[in-house]
Amino acid sequence: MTTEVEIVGVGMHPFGRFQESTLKDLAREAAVSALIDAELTTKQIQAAYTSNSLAGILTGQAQIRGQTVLRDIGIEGIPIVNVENACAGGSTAFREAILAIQAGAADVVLALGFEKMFVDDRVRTLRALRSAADLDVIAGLGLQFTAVYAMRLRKRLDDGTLTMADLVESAVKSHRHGALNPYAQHRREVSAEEVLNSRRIADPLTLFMCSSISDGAAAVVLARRGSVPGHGGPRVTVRASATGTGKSGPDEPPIAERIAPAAYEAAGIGPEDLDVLEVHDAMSPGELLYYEQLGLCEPGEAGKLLHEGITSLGGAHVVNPSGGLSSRGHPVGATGLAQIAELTWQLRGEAGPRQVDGARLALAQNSGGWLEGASAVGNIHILERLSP
Amino acid sequence: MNDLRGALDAPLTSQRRRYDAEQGALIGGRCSSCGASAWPRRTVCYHCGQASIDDFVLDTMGSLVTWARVWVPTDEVDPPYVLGLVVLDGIELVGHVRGLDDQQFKVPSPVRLVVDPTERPPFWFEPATPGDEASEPSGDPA
Repeated sequence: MTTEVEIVGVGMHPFGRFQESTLKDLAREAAVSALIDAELTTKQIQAAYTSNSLAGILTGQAQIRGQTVLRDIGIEGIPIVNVENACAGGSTAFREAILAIQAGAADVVLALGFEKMFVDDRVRTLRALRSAADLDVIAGLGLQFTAVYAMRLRKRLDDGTLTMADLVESAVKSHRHGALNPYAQHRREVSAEEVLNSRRIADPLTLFMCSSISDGAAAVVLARRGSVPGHGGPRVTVRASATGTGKSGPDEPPIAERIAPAAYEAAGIGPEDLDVLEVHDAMSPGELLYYEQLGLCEPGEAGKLLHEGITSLGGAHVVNPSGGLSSRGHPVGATGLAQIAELTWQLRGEAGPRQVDGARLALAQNSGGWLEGASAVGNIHILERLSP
Repeated sequence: MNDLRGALDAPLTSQRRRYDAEQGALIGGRCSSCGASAWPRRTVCYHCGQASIDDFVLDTMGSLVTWARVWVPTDEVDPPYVLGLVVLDGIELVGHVRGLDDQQFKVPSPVRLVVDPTERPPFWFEPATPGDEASEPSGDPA
């Protein structure tokens, strides 16, 4: 990349159920935390990209969501662009912030994702989530995203390239990591037996394999290298940003597989160089599919990688040290930025008990929506720690 | 030649037939230039970019690529129900699957389409039985 873009601050509002908090409360805590982390004031932010997916349906705030939450913390007058890309809205906001800096339109940019999914009636939330597919095509079918993942996994169970034990172990690992994360929604370890015996959601998925309805927010402050003083600690830079949307036809590879080579090429690395990854496991076994799509292993080897501990804390390529979507929680529009926040903490060595020792190279992968086979959107970002 | 003007004259989305109850078949769109097809019919071909799409009747025999039995209630369908991904004439379709025996079933597996406009949803898939007509290769170049 010609212009170096750095992550100078990150912050989150914990993910979970926050009955009393509005979108403004969630967004405020994340954005202010990121600014404090960056040692910047609100007046130094020159542009903002704000991601929210469901408020239009769930609270009725269908428009100017970024402006409404940012004016509470005195950010106004600057360009504020509202971003919606289903579950990948957060990483899309992040990417747009990178592009704005590279284009020279701004030096210091805020990317903010915020979502409130707990409302009076869970059926209303499920209905809102359904709009991450083409309603013109899927209306009336009772489509749920648990079923989308279940279908991706079913064919792998039937062709023998994954086993039920792999699916269960992914949930055990996810909760083991999530239990170490103070921002996570689910912070209790679960046994394989508990996973297997938890409530059926969409066969072969059980409750403990699935992310939950969640409230939360995450924020990242990005800056052109040299434009802000920084705080003297390790610096985190963006090495690659790749994006794609779903393509029609039964023979198209998944988006992550399609765009990963470009991301690796831009960063000048390969998957074997990655120390830590945050991938889109809206249902915990989803991470197994991404091991293969991102090139961490050959097709069919994902279960082996998991069981050998390669992707667990202490392994060579740690995947979802935060607990991932399934344990950290998945407030849709915030998720992509929570991944970036987690990786930034990891690269700076600030992740506490879930720290990946000496992490230098990190990858975030975030998916959104579904178009009868392919995801509707996918983003990959590669980050690197620079020595201070 | 890439003439997009046809896209301006395309029928409104609401006027594009999605199935033919009498034939018991789905109606999709096929590109007259390259043969790529989609259901429901689209206006411009995703494969070659031409706007010369014609209606075509999809084969009623397809392959169930994968499925999921859903246990969580929504405002649309009462559980449990089975969602399936079916490839029919080279098109990936999502629909309900009825009559599937969880224990015995392995994908991919042949299924046949059933259309009944009095039901909701108005079409679904069922496991093919030996008497069902063999699926004909579509010869789809896309």
